[in-house]
Amino acid sequence: MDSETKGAVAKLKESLASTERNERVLALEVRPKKYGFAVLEGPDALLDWGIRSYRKGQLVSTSEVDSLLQSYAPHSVVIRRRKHNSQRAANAARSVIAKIRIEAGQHSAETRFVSGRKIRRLFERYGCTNKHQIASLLAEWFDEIRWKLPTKRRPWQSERYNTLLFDALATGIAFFAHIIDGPTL
Amino acid sequence: MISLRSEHLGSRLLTAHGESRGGTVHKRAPTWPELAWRANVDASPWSMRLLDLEKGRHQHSFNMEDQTVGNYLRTHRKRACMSQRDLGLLIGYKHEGQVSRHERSKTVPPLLTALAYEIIFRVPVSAMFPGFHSAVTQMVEGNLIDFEKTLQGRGEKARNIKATAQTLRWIAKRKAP
Repeated sequence: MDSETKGAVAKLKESLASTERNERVLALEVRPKKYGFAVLEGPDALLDWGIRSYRKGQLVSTSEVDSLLQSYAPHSVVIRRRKHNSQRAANAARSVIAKIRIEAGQHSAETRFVSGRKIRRLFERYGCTNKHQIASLLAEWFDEIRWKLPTKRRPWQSERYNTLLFDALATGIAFFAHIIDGPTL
Repeated sequence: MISLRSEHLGSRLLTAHGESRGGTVHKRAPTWPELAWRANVDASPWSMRLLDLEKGRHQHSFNMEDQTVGNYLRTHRKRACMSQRDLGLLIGYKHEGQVSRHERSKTVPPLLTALAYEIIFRVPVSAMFPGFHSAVTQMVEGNLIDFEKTLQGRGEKARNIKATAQTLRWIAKRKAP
């Protein structure tokens, strides 16, 4: 698996090498009570990453997003569109995304959305069919977050905390991949 | 460990050029807080637009691609998996507050601290603080143009004509790629 992952990373890097756009992107994975973020400068340079929790209905999240927008001045904020398990969760995430969109607009950053399907399709090309495989591929690529790679989840276990970070990073990488394919986000 | 104040060092460095030659460099050298603010502005496109509007530079076309991050201190620290406190202790601070302020470009690190960052992360100061670097570059290049004009405006009967000619030659040589 290790050599396979290395090969997949090399292929993915090669496919993204043709982009000369080193624009800064803030990739977000928003959940009802927490969000993961990754700041990328081009597909190769990971500037910042992390996971933040916030109370439902409070502006804590957006004030932290605001500090990220101020520090890194990203050209785009990329958010993954995802299906939520309940209507309540979907509404909560939607309201947070709306607030983030306003904040991004105030910092002249464009908000772009990437569908979960497109992200899955991108990584399927490199043999990654589940979240753990995608996270392993990204951990292989970005050495600085390798130690954050969560252990494989068992079907009866809940999602690992750090998965959010790798999901955000995958969103960012998918954004750069789709820049090359065309603006079909 | 580090007691030198960057404001004093900085203002002396920036104004010494104009004062020592007795030339009249019209622009006042910006203070470090101003430079810090400018570096922050570099990282904030929206504020940059406001600044342009305030200064009446409405025709200035704003290019997003040119914007640089104020500094990459946080990136390098996180790559090393170090806390702000750990980094502060390495440099000689007792608390993490100063490192946090440097990361957010709220204050400019003193020269010795900047060198300490360079030594720790093995990254040149100019690459670590591109926002400050570009702000200082812009300011100094502007001052040099003014200074050159001032020197060229001096008459042939000026006292230090040979020194002035040498400085002009040096400026011309510096401009050449």
